Amino acid sequence: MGSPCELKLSGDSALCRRVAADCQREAERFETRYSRFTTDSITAQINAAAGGAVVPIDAECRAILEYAGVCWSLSDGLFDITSGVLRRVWTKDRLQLPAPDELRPILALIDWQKVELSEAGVRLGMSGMEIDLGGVVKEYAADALAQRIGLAGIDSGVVNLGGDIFCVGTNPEGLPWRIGIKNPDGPGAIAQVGIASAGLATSGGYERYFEVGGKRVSHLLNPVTGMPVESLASVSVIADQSVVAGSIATIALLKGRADGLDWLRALACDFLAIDASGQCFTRPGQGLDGIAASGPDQKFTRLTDNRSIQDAFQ
Amino acid sequence: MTSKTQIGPLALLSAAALALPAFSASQPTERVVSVNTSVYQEGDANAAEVVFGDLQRFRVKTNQFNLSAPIGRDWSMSLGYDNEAMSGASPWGTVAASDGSGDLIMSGASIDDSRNGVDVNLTRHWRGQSLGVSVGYSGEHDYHSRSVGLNYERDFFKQNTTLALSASYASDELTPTDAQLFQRLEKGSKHTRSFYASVNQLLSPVSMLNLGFGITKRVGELSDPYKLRDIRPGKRLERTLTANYRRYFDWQTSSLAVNYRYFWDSYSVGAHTLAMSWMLGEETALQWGPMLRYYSQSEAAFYNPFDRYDQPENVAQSSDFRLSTFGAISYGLKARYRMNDVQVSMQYERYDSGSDYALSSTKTAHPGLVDFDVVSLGAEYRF
Repeated sequence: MGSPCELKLSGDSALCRRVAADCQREAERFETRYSRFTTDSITAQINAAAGGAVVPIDAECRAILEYAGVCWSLSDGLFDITSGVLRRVWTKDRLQLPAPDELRPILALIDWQKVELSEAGVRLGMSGMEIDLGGVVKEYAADALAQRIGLAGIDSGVVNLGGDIFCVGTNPEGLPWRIGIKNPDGPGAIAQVGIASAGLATSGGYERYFEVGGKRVSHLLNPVTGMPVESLASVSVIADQSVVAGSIATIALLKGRADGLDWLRALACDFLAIDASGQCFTRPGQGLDGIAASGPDQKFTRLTDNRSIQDAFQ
Repeated sequence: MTSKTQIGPLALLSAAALALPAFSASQPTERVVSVNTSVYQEGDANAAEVVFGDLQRFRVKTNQFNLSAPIGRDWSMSLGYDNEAMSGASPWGTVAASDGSGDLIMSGASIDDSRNGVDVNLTRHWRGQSLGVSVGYSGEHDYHSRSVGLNYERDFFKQNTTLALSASYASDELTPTDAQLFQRLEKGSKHTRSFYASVNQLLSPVSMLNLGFGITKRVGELSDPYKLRDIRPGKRLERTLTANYRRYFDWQTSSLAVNYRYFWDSYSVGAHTLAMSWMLGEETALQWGPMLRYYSQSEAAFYNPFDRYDQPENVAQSSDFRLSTFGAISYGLKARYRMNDVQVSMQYERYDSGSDYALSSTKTAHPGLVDFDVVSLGAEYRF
């Protein structure tokens, strides 16, 4: 999945190993089915047929596309799975920011509304258009694996697909799983969060980024301007599904610092947002550092001992 | 923006997420095609116990094809086809031998028949429950069966408990061959209604218990028209109780399955089945293991070791070995090998039956009790 993946299962070791093997197969299926890097994935087939024929899709791919459509409309067009074409401009070897003339033809290819979903399948309306389902599939895969783990009868486990996490039940001691939130501005964990039977997704500019002229810019690009979003450094969201948490976090980042915080604060879910100066924000009424709220609602705990992500993961 | 208007996005995203296949019931997300072929061969009848007919008993070759696939987001279907080619002789009747034992009258080896069956199932899936409807047809030259069925499944308690209910109805039509020549029944019909309920309970992350109860009512022509003297009551009520236990073990990543079934019916046949199978290497590409099954049955109230021609035709009687007191031991080996999306499997089973294997004793061992071997090969492809 292009990032480190981790699976923690607790219970009978034979069952855990069997389920782990099953999860690995399923994760590989997601990878081969939706990767935009391989030529035989459904993503590659849809992209290759852009401007041409309708590509038939199965129920899963259709549900993922429809979900992406909901994200697009809720984000006023900021969450757009057709914005991946910006990579053609934002290459790793760039030395300077792209000029408007360079961006214009690419921006013309970004439009979710030109993704034509029909009974027969899906068609990208313009030649050269591309979709990238990576922003949905990785989180959804974490949910799908967690679902499998639960169905197999394991009630304690963690699926971590490159930071998109689902915690199955509690840890073996019956307590919420403690997950470390990476410090966007340095090594180690900045906070720890307790989660049971829920998804956690973290989005930020720290793990994947472009370096342009020595300056680190976020991999999050505004689909309207084509430029990196100067936004919050990191957003972590807890929701019933990892895929929902991921979409909320991504939309928050794409909205920029102020609008992103407004968006998060208005939602009925727990979050931790960290801005460029290192300031932390959580759900209204929930303090950080265990001062304002130390009861069971307290989700995030600030860590000041600079411990590693692994140590913050219990 | 007020928080009131913003609660919407989370609800909308959650609703859209719940439409993703992983969250909807147990709808299959993969298409599965499987083929299976098997040969069932009964051991020859003992020449010393046959007064007439062919000694070579039944041989059945079966080919099966099955396809299951999701349709859209909420539906799935499966399609099954099977073909059986049968040849060999079967018992026509039993007569008393001079030493007090029974002797068989066998059919000639003329039986050479084939049966084709097809069934289609369509299932609607919701979150945590599913409802399916199926129709089936099976036909051979002297027998046609049409069936319909309904099945419902529902998960409870975070999917730790599953309730399954099914009901079916079958209407069969018999048109025995050479009816006039042998004064057989020319045309008959029978109707079967079945109901089955089971509860599957996860006992721990590594063990599972399934308890079931089934009831089947058969009405119509239940006598075997090919036997010389076979008169059975036109109504049969069958009941079954089942208990299946399964457990995973760390050792050799194996699993043990223990199944028990008790059957009793209005013919006063009672039967116990106890089966155990052990599968090794659950996580590896090659999985294999042995199986052992014990079966014991007590005879029907109207079972006669020999055909009684002195009894009037309105009095029930049958010398069918399947209604006699007997027991059976089966043992076998099965193996599966998985390579990515393809799985191949093979299975061998040996079945030995005898009246002395039964839990209850009988004075006259039925000479028609069979022993058989079954070898099957299968392949499955997921895509």
